[in-house]
Amino acid sequence: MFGRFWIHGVAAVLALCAGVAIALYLETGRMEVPAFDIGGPFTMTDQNGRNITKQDLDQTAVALFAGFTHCPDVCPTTLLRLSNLLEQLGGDAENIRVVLVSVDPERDTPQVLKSYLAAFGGDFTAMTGTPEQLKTFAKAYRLFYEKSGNGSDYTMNHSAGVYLFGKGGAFQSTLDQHETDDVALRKLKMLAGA
Amino acid sequence: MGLAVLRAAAITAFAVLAGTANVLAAETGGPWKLGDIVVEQAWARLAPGGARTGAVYLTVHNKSGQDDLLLAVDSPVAESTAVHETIVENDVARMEPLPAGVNLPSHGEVVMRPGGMHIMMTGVSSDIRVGSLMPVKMVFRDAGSLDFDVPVVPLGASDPAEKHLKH
Repeated sequence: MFGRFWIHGVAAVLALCAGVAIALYLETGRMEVPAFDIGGPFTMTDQNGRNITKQDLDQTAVALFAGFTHCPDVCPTTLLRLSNLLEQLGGDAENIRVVLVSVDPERDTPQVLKSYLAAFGGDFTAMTGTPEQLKTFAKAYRLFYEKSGNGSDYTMNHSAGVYLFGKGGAFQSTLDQHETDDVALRKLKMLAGA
Repeated sequence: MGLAVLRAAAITAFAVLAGTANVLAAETGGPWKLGDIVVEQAWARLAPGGARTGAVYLTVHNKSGQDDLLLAVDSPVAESTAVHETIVENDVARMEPLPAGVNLPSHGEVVMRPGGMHIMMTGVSSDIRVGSLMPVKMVFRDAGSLDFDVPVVPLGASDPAEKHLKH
């Protein structure tokens, strides 16, 4: 019931943070980390069935987004775009870990995620968890998700943006599908170098 | 000797080019015509990882002086087939069915492409894989019904509809 208002607020704050960060960067020539906290302690399971925590994520810069494997349209599109952008980024791409957070723990087991990622060829990470673990993660990382439809044909509505975190876990910016590849590449380059 | 090498090289180059052209041509299906309706630039992809969901993308032209309506879509190889639209609002992505059909304006076109309108399929038969042809039926209010087979392309294959749009 409060979901819509909440997501409005989060989207507005994220946009503002990204705007402030870019303005500061343009002004001073370096990236200032906005004083806005996204992220928190969590335990999920990766595609290899191993536990993954915030400490693991904080080891490298991260591009994180929500999705689910039964999604034929927007999720492969996001992952393919990230894959193409990282290819264009070249060597710097090694510093960025792409993380797909499944918002469909009911169907997305680690094995399912593993075979899903195999189709993209990149060295990506996917994670899933129990419904409670996902709830904790989504709250900490300001991700929205909800089930839509009934029976086996249900789909998931979910946050569409890609969240960028620097090494150490500080939130930096977001990518969205309306910006040009040039803008997205500049953000990723900053992220990889930070 | 030198000539023979050149000739072999030329034949090889030709074969490689011809092969590439075949691969590219195989990426989209159509055009298929039904009166003033033309369907083209059709391609399909399956969600990877065995989810058995898929999406078909294509362009429908209505060359008549009258609007038409795409009433329904169907496929014998899927448990359910429907036109859906991906909508991103307040940074939340959702898919919505279009139960009222899709309007095809006179002398206009409707483009289905990733991140927008698409034919969504669930429970796709395991016989359908990359390289298969996905049978699709479209039922139009005025033009009648049209059956065609859409090539299932590998994930990450170029998006012909988007290229088409940029031209």
